[in-house]
Amino acid sequence: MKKILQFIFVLILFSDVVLAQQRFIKGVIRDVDDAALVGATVVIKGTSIHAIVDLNGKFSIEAPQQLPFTLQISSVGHKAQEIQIYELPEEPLDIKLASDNVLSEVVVTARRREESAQNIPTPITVVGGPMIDDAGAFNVNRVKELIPSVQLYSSNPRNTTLNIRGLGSTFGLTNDGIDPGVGFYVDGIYYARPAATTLDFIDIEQIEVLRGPQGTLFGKNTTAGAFNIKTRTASFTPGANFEVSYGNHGFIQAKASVTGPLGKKFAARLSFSGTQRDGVLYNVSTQKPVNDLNNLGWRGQLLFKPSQNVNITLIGDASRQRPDGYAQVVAGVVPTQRADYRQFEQIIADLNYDLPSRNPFDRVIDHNTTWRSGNDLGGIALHVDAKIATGTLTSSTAWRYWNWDPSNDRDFTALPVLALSQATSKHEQWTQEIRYAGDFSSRLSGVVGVFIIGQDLKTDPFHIEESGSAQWRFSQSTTSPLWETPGLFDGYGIRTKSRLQTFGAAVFGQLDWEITDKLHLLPGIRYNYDKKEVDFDRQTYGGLETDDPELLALKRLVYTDQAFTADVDDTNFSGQLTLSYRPTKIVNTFITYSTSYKPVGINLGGLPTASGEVLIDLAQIKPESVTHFEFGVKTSPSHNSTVNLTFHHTNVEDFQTQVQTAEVGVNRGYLANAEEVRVLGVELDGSMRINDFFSFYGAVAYTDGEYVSFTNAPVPLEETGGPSAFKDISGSDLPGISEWAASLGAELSSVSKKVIGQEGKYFFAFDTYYRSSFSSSPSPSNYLNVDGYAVVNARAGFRATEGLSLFVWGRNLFDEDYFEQLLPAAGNAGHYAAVMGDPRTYGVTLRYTY
Amino acid sequence: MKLQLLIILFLISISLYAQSDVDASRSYKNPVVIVTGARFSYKLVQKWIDDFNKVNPNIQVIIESRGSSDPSQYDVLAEVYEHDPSIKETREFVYVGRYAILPVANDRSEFSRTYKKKGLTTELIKLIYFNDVFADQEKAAKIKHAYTCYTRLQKAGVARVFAKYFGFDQKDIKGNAIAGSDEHLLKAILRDSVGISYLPTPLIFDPLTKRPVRGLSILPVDVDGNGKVNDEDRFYSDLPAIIQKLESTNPKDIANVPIEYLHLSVDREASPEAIAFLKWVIEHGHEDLNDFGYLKPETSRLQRDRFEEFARGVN
Repeated sequence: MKKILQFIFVLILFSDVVLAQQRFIKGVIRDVDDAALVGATVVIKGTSIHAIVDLNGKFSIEAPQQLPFTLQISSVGHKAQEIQIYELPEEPLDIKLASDNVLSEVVVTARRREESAQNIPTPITVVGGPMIDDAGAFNVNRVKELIPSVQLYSSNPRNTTLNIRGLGSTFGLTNDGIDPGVGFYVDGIYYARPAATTLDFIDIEQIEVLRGPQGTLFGKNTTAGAFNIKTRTASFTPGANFEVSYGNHGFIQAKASVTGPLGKKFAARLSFSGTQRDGVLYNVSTQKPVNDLNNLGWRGQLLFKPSQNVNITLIGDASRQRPDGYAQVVAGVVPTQRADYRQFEQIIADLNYDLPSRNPFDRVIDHNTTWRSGNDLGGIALHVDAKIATGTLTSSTAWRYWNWDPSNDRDFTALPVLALSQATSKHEQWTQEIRYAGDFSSRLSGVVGVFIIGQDLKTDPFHIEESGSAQWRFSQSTTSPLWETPGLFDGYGIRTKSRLQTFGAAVFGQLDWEITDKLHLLPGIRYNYDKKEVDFDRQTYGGLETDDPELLALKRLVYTDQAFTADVDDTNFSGQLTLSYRPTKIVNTFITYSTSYKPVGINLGGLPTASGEVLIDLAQIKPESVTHFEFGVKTSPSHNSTVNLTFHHTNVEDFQTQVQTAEVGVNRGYLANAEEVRVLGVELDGSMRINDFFSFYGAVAYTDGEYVSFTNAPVPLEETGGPSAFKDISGSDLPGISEWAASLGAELSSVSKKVIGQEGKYFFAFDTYYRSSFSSSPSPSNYLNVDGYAVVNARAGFRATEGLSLFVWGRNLFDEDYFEQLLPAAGNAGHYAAVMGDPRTYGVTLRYTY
Repeated sequence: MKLQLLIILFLISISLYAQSDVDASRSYKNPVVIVTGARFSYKLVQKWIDDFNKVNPNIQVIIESRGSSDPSQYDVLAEVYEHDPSIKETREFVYVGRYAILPVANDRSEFSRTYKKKGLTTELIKLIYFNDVFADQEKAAKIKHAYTCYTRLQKAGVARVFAKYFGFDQKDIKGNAIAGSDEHLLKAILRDSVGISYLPTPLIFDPLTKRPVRGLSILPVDVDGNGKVNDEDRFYSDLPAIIQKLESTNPKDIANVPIEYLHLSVDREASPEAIAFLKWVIEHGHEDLNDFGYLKPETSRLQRDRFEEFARGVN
């Protein structure tokens, strides 16, 4: 008994000591509407001491001995709050967390300084990293579904067209000899080759899409708009994200990002992305699936912060794509105006061949040439940002490379027509931009900069096009029996060695003069210098060795030797003037007039011939001049909504376009100038966060593009073989422009829950994308038109604030069959192929955030 | 066995007693007047108590930290904001002196250096200190220098007055909240090289030097309300200069400086001792105001007659 007594005695004494030492903070946590925030977490900063708010919104947490200390309070859907405790409150704390249903202010750097997207007088669409991650929009082709003014056409990475409002680059196949009109910037570095737009994004913070010419803001001229992509930066606060997705068609995607300090002044971030998917087409010739995904990419960043005012960032990145990809499916056969024996159906019948399917959506191909798209891009960049006076001086130095190793089946059949089509290339670019952005006085701010770029693009070592034994039948243009000469075209090809060296320099600037609090005038100017040097040498090889002039003439009808050099330079002034008026704080109106310029283009895909002679004068095409008007209204009708409206009108003189020709030797088309084109349209977009649980966005674009004057355009596929190879297509539609395009999406989420120890919300979200029909032929065709389509993507699951998230997703949920692009096969025999839209894909994503 | 149980009960009793509220051990020889209220007023109130006790040694006046929001627990409330009319009807007030609220910052920050030169207009004050959905973000973006605003978590007189003056509520003040008193706001600023806040004049100045507390900068404001911060708006060199400027200017001509009263109040059923203390304050309290960072009251708000009438009625 004595022992029990002693025990109780000690217990009582001990409890006294404990009670004397333990101090608790109590409180209640509510939202602004006084509703208890059940499940909110309260953490003593710097410790693992934490508490969870109970069903009544109350919490109690043991206070540290040492004052002051900090409470961190967080609840999903609300702004986190920190409270410093300097003395223990005698009464329970009454803490209110503000809801984050106020639309987060979207901060953009489009004008090279941090501003609210709603406040700048520029049409801009912003897609944040979380949205990109959740929506599975891991490349530009998928992001375009969120931004209806953007078009991307890609029949392979080189032949990728990134357009805004239908303008920017040539539709269809690309020619390396012209500049893109849509600037593609990643962390402030200009990516010169369109192939970059096919890469998987790596650790994206935000994508800003600026519509309309932006040459007075960006180093490289951008006649149609700019993609300004920002990746997540290195942070002194440790953090990590890991994500893995599994889906049908063998889809696996893994992403990782780790960041943290490497000392007091150094921080780093390492990011990785890898994607694999089985092919979604089946090649009966090889009995294998094709069009798979096989992408890897990484980015490393090292941040050095010697002082509060200076950031020095070194960024290296490399991406590698090795897909058996970009095969196209024969989507139809056009009767041309050629003789019956030259019609596709007759040709393949004579060769005892038939297509594996007449329905492209069977997704079956019969191609005997390997499809390969080896696409390597990477580079290194050094950024120095120094705060000087009331602005920031930035220097961005970069070197980048592109190695391109393709193999295509350009006849889209298993017949040995075009045995090889391999335009291997190597590209290097060097850029240097120095700019100052900031306030020059209390009423004058702006950006001024200089930019230089050098590029060296060369064949590696040759571009090869080679015929097979069936070429004669596709190229046969007379009934002469000489076409059937055995081996005449077997192994006959062209080997092109070319090198394009360019140098560009620009001085640019844009000011923002605050005339009054409500009225701003923004003049901008740009001076360009561009120089291009080309050495192009194409030699024929192979086929039947013969001196017979008639046979040689036949061979020349297929391929010709071509050689030319060019050395051109040019200068140009362009500019813009914007007047911005903000009658109230929630309305921002602006009107812009701007001019822009795209330098001279050089034909690097071969030149057409006339009467057997190479048309050398087409080697070079004229610069493009852009005149642009725009009127916009940006509004924030309430604290949780935005509605923006833009009218735009653009005229382009000497529009640089890529036109298709029946000549096999120019099977990727050639560059030409259309005298004038015009694009006009209206864009309406908005977003609203109804409450903590429901938000939506929508955007619709009406775009009308036409050739005002193009009197000497090549005829479309179905008119091949007609009386003339050229026609006047003035007044007809520009290719690649849907009259209507729209995006609509919404997200529904639950109250904050705790699931397996993870704080987060259940959610359901969807995105839809619709576009109306569009022409897929540079010269309007009755056949090469893509029907309108709509795609619905959705996802549902649990999204943790921090920790493990899990959700299922589906893309193209209704398995809509659609084409992204139609292209005639080389030689204009009459068949054309399609770049197919992806079928329905679905899967699950696991994400861990630390 | 019984003995053992008794010992246990004894120990438990001692234990509980040791943990019990200190109220139980409170005992005073003389009649006691308990004062509570705004913490920053305690220095001045204590000075008054000391002086009062010299002539009224039989009345014990003590300051007690407010542990309850129930005013009936205390004899005198020293508050620094205007009460709701419903409360005013139940109490008698003496408006003793005034204090001004000024924006302050840690003097090591670039923010402090910049705005000490530029000063703060009404628009800037709203942009810097308040969450305003419709604030001009373009102008907000021009505030380039880093700063962290500190404010009070719990309902607080100074925070309330500051917010109300600019058309907001206390909850609209942005930044890091602290649980503590206004003195802790001062500590928070001094601990954070980019800290800013708003403080009442009695806390801003060192009582010895009459200059701002070491490490603290006062940010000049557009006092004449002309949209600019002129040389005439810079009068913050020392406490006497500020008091002289604010006392000599018609309150209607002072912009961007919230000025509010320190008032003492008692319940209508107040003890004679509490009333005696307030009467003493009415007579003598103004002598120490300036030294402690307060402005003298406007003549119209003295309300001395009314309180004396109340006091006579009670007596």
